[in-house]
Amino acid sequence: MASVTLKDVVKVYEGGVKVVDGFNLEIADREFVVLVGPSGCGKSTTLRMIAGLEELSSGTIRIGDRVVNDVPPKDRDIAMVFQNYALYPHMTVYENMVFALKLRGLGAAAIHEKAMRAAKILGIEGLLDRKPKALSGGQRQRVALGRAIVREPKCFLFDEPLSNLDAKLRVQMRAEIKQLHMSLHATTVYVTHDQEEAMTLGDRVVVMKDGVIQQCDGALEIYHHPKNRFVAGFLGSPPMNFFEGHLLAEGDRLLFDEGTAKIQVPEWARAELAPRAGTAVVMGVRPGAMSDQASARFATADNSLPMRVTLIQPLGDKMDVVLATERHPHTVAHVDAHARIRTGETLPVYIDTERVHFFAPGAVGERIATKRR
Amino acid sequence: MTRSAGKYSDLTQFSIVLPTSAWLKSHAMRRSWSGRLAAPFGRASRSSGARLGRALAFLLALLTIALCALVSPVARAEAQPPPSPEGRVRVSYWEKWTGMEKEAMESVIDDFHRSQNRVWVDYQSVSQYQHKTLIATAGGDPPDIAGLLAADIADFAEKNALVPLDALMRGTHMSRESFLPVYWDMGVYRDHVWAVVSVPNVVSLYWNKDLFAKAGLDPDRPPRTIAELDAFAEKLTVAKGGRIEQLGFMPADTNWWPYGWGFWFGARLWDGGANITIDSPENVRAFSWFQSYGRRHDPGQLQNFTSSFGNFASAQNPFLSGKLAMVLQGIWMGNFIQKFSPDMRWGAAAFPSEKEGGPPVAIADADMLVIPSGAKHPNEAFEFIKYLTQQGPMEKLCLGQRKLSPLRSVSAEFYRDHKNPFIKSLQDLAASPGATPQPRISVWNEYTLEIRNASQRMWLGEATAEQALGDAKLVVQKSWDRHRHRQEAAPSRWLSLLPFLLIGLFGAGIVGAARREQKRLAKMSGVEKPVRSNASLGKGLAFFSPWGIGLLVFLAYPVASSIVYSFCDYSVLSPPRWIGLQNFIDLFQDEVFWIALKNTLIYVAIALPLGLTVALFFALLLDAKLRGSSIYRTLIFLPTLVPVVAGATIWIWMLNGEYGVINHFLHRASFGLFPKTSWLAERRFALPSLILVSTWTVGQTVLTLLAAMQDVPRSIYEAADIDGASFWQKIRHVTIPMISPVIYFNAIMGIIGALQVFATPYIMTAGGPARATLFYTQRLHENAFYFLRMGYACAMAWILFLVVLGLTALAHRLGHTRVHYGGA
Repeated sequence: MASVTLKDVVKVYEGGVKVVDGFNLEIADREFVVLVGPSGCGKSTTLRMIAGLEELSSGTIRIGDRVVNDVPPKDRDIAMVFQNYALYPHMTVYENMVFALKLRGLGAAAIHEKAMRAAKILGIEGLLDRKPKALSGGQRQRVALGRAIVREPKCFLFDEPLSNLDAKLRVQMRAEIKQLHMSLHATTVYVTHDQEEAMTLGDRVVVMKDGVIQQCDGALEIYHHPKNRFVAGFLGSPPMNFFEGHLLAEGDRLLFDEGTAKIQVPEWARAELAPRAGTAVVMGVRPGAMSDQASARFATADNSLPMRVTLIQPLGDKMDVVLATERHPHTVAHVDAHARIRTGETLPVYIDTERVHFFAPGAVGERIATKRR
Repeated sequence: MTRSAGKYSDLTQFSIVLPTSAWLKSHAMRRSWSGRLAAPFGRASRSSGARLGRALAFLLALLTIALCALVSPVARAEAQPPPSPEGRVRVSYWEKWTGMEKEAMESVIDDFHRSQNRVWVDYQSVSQYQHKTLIATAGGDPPDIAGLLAADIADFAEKNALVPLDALMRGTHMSRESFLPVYWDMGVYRDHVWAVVSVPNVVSLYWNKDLFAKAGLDPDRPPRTIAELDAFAEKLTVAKGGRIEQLGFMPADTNWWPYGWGFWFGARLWDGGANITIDSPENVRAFSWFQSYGRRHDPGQLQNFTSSFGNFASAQNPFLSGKLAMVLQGIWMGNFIQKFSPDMRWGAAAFPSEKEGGPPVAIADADMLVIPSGAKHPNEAFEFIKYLTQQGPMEKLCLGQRKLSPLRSVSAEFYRDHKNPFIKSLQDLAASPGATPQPRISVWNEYTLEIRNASQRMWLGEATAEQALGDAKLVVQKSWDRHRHRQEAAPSRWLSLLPFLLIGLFGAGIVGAARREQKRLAKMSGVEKPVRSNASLGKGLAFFSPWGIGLLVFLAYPVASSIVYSFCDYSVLSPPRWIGLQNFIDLFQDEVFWIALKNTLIYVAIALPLGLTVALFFALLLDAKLRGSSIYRTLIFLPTLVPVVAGATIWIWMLNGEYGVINHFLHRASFGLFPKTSWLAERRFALPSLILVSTWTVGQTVLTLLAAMQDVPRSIYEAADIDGASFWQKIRHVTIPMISPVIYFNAIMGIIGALQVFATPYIMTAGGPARATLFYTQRLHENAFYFLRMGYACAMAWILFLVVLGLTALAHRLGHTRVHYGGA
């Protein structure tokens, strides 16, 4: 096992498109790091540079103590799992798994032992004589994993390995990958565009946008304390609501003016927000921090917005209610299912001001205030 | 190729477009012509075949005419007929001549037009005159007069393609007495006169007096015996440092009359009855002598010297350019000397015989005029022939063409006005009892082919004269015996219905199977009749008909016919005779069949894997994303766009021993150590050369392989990269297995294609040297279109089909488990 270090890594494609721009990351030995971001953010390219499938335009990558910029993939001692599995279709499951070992010239007995061990871990002992064509998506994914683990590499690289699976299988495989990591303790870099996958799997999550790291932290840290509006909006489902308004100082009160109503800025945020009185800010509220009920524990006179219900999406115990104000026609509240709400009615919606975030204006507006917890 | 193969390939090279039309025609015409045909041997009788057959024949005839119109100069000439005076009967006349010879004939025709006011002759120059005349005759629309060669007469007469002239000649000036007997007899076959000589030829010795003088020989005294010829030849040969610069005599140059060497040794080719006598002691002596000329010099040196010879009709002709001191040539040699080398001092005399004292010996040949069976104006046609064979017009024609006269009496003016200074002695030579024609035997085409092959084998030193001639005799004798015996089988009218019966049975089988399947399905589903509201048999058939009619007419009928004919003796012009399995039995005893099959299998076994390997190599190169790879891709594909004939011709020159680019580079690259090699003329190199040439057109395969390679997902290569595969391991373990279906497909198509290899070798080597490159389809083609043994050829076609089927099945057995089909 080994650490992986990326320093000032830049990738510029032909034609001048900069897909990775000044990427710095230290991945500790045995750590599970997830790169997440929308498509085109450079996460896969970064992973492929670690694998050696793409060349760096500048910067250095180390695996362990060795700079691997010019080391071919086969000598980097890594294993990679591809989105489409990239199994060799003309080989059986067993042959797929042992191909790398054969190329290394291992003895037949050693190969067999390693292959059987991996097969047992993954529960694919019964499939060893089949060709990939005869396997289901989940089974193929398991074989791809098996092919990676038989080699006992220093580092595992996953490139959106679960994207081709259906939702249920994805959840199941996600758990298995996590368990596998916990038992193998291998350094792992995992790329996904699925924030849920990122949060559940990663020791650390790296959120990327346009080739730049937006935030790199533990999953909960990112969730609760996003560094900017992009990160805040990317993690969480349904995503965070953003209200664009500006700050008003009325006497000794500091208010956030949404346009239709005003909300009192909580005590903990006053220090950061007071200097910005009179300027535009963005207030971020997660759907769960909004409620229709005056009985909600955070209901006060100064934290409600009158909103019209445009759509109700029942989810069982809970439901997502799509709400609209004049200026924010699409806002989602995640509320208890027993709430008696009807489409079309306008009602006061209460906001838990202990759990709001304030950002500077703009799509990637920096965080101004968030409550530490 | 030695020069000796020249004549045959010259004649046949032009027929490349013809086989298709000839083939279609051969199926179509049987019905339409046979009723109109005169039947001197009582073989053809009035046809009363099914109406469908006639309609089919008509359709195919139309198609053939359309095809002929595309390829033949005849059709072009027809577009602008010469003005014909009112009220005359127009006689069409097809002749092979162009240029000077055509002008001479046209001048005589003009005289004929002036001499009377009843008949008008339309002269048309026709290429492939034998094929076209035969096809037109079989199709029931022949010209009224056709110009053939003496060698064609027996074959045409045997096939009922000619009108006998005996009755027409009664009471005219035309008789054996008025002609030189050798030329008259050329038109006689089985006691009937079928043809009349127009312009004769006599083959004699031509010698270069300047070279004689230079060698210290008396320029005015040609050799009188073979021994003298050999001695003169020795003196006339100049070689410096092993390199030949001049030869006294070289029998393999323009070996246009390979059958004739025995004539000067007192040999005959046929006893007039059951026996082929090419292996007679006289012939063996003659050919041993012929062979000895190949052994007087180093074979490589000789080969290079001969490959430096230019075209016959050019100043680079070896005799005209002073490279050969003595040649055996026809009467036209005088014209060529006067045209290309007017300053040369030369002589012409009888070629020397083995023994002195006998009459002078010469090969006699002639252009003949015939009236094809079914000609619309036989009487008017004969009117012209009668006019032409009078002394005045005949001498005018022969003077114009600078040939000798075929008539017994020759006017003083003829000798006086003739451009050839030796005309008198050549005329005497033709009148000599030693003037010998080709035997009038109906298997002559095959006979000459065998002799040519035997002389190639002797010349290459592969066999003694005894062996080569013995082998040739075996083949020809077998064929001649077969021919004579098959005359006894009666033609069967019902045979023409058999193809339809076969198609009917096949169709009934399909319908029956469909019915059974319908019933089975009905039983399974419990529904008696599937409900289809818009089902209509009529509409269904109507939609099917454009394709269905094509299938029936152009595929089902020919296929069924060829099955039937493979059990028949069938020469297109006569109705088929049922002979059961005899064709197949004969084939298995046919030495040439086995040679052709063996060559073809060797070709497949080497050319196919080689081609695939080369294609794979190029495809891999192109798959690597190189700068300008689209240019390379185009370059590699380009040769497949070059017409086959053009490509083959280029390769003939590239592989030429003396001037070839390939020798030039090998010679240069090896600092002169690599000897110049005549790649296509030496047995050990000819087949390998053709195999290498076949790789020139791998473009198609390269493209399909490349397309398959580019379909392989990149991620699999990346997985292999990470797994630690090297470049070669990726090719071995990823690329090749992933594209294996395309490789397999190309292998199967390659087997089928290579077994049918024809055009390129046919043009480049015509099967030579000595059948070293004779492939199956060429032998099939020879049988079908050169010997007109359609039944035999059909049997060969079906055997080839079985071989293809067998090899494909074998490939399937071997390959199929290693082929990975689709899907990740």
